[in-house]
Amino acid sequence: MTFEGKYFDGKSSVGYATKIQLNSFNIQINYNDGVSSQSISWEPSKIHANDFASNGKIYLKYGDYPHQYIEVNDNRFAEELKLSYPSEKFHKGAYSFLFSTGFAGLAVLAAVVVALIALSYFFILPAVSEHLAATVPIEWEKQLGDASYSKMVEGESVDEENSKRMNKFFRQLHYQSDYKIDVVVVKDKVMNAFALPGGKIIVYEGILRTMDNSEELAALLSHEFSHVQLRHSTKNIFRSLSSYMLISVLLGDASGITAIVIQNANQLKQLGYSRTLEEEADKNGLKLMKQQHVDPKGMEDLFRALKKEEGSEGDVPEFLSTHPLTNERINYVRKEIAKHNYSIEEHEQLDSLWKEIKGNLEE
Amino acid sequence: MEIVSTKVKFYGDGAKYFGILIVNVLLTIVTLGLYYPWARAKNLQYLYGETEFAGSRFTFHGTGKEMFKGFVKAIAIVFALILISQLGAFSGSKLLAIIGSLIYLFGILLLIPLAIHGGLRYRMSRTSWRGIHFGYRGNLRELFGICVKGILLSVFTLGIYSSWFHCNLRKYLESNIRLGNCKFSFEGEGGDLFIINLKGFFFTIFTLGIYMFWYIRNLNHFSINNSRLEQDGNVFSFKSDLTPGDIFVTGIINYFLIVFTLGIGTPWAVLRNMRMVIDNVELEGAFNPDAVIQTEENYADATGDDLLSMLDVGLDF
Repeated sequence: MTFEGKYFDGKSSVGYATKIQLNSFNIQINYNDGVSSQSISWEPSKIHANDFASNGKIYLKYGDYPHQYIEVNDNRFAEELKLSYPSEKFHKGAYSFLFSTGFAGLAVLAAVVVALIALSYFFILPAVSEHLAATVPIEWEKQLGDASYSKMVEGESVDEENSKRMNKFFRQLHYQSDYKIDVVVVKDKVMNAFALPGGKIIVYEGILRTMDNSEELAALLSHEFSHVQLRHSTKNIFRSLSSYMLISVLLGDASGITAIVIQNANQLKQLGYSRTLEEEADKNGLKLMKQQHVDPKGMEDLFRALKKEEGSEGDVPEFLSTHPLTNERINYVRKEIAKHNYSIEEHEQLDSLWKEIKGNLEE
Repeated sequence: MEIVSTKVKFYGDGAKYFGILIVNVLLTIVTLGLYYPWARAKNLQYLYGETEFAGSRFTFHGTGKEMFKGFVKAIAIVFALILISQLGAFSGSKLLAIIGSLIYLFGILLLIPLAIHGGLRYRMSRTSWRGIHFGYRGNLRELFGICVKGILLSVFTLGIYSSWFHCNLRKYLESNIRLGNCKFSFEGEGGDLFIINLKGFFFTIFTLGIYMFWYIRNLNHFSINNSRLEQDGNVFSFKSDLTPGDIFVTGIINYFLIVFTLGIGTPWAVLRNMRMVIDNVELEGAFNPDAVIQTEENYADATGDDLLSMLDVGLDF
């Protein structure tokens, strides 16, 4: 079979009109370079891989640098090459197989890819992040927490006396943990509290002012302690890192890897927890309170008190805005309390510490 | 018969491009990202192969293997910098934290000229037309000087100098690009670019965004109409016929293509955009497409190209 095309010799850009003949063991290229007739023979094994992706024009590249080329403007040429040299690799790319399957092949492949992305985003990534978060040493978490702590508390003033009392209060709860918990009270009317990885719990004065009894404080600390103990921040970081990587892989954007670094440690606070993690912390908190015979109604009261503040004019409690859906939370906390039997004991030390803390706030 | 202009034309086909991207995504996920360099090579091979100048297509010769080697080196460099800044941040000492982030910042700044230099050398060497290879012959030290001066002056003048910086950079880079024995150059002046940007900024605000289409057109014309190609002592100019109407229509259609297909139409939109830009370009004058002689040497280190992609430095090749 003979095809017409152009031959480029790799030395200049002249395209010599040529007749191309597909023989069984070689490709014969005959052309006239303006002076005399030339004949060149190509070994099929030295032809470079080609997906025949382009419509119409087919290029074959041959040999070492500087490469020779032939250009053929005939769609039958691709078919004929496959028939003439069935065992050669140059026409067997994965992509050319795909093109030969047409629309159906593309559609199936697209469906597989979408399913795979969904699977990894909703199941594989969370599982992997959870697993990774569990293997991180406490020391690493502590460093991360401390680094973001110093950035967050910068410019705020800490109530040293109340912080001491709060730590005493927390120790009176007798929660078992490998983490060294350190509670810090910040003098600010913001109604918020949050836990940092590694054991720091930060409580703002605003949220203390809305509380009426020691059980509410116990509930708040139990909730924050659960975030620390269940490594929620660390899980969150791994989760957002891995999601970010998935997205940057999908968009073919390696610059995303650089962008991760630019994210600062102080963004930790803004990450916020998902509803599932919040619920987990609430329930774990209730469980701990039950074990220590502290009245679990404290948690319900705490949410109600915060909700009331939300209703009144002025500042919306940040604790709620970062912890969404108060009504739903109050409901499941109430249900959780109703589900179990509790034996409640008096905690004189907690009560007296609470009074001291509250008294210090009034000054 | 005298040739008055040489056209550039783009033949990309959305369905085919979609197929290539979907295979790329699939393999990249399955290999946990390791396929990325091969995916990039395939992507470029396809796009170059569908672009035609004077009746012949371009070829991208880069391979996944070369780009993978570059990818590994680029990752190592960037991660070393990240590690330094993180060690500083977690050391507990404020001084070390500041030193760490300064090293990171300056490291990235110094990497930019290195990435442009290496990236352009690799990309040009790996691009050919009619078997004739492109080449970049710039000198790293000179490029370095242009970048340091440009970045510092841009910072001190609150960004005003950046138009001049952009032009100086383009002049240096383009004047060092060869297609065989043909030589490129760029004649855009910083002052003109500054006025385009100034007008673009204020008029876009005053006209509630409508001027944007003229602004994009002006930038496109500035970039292309100031590019030159010299062959055997004759200088030819590139010319773009892109109109604000083209940009508006393509933009609207692409918007619907992406939004109403939940993103699946993106490959089509990307190609429509490329076609719009490329099909409007021509080289004016009697350029002789049969008289280009091979001159450049082979160059296969892709580190710079991968760094460019990681640092997200946009260069219009």
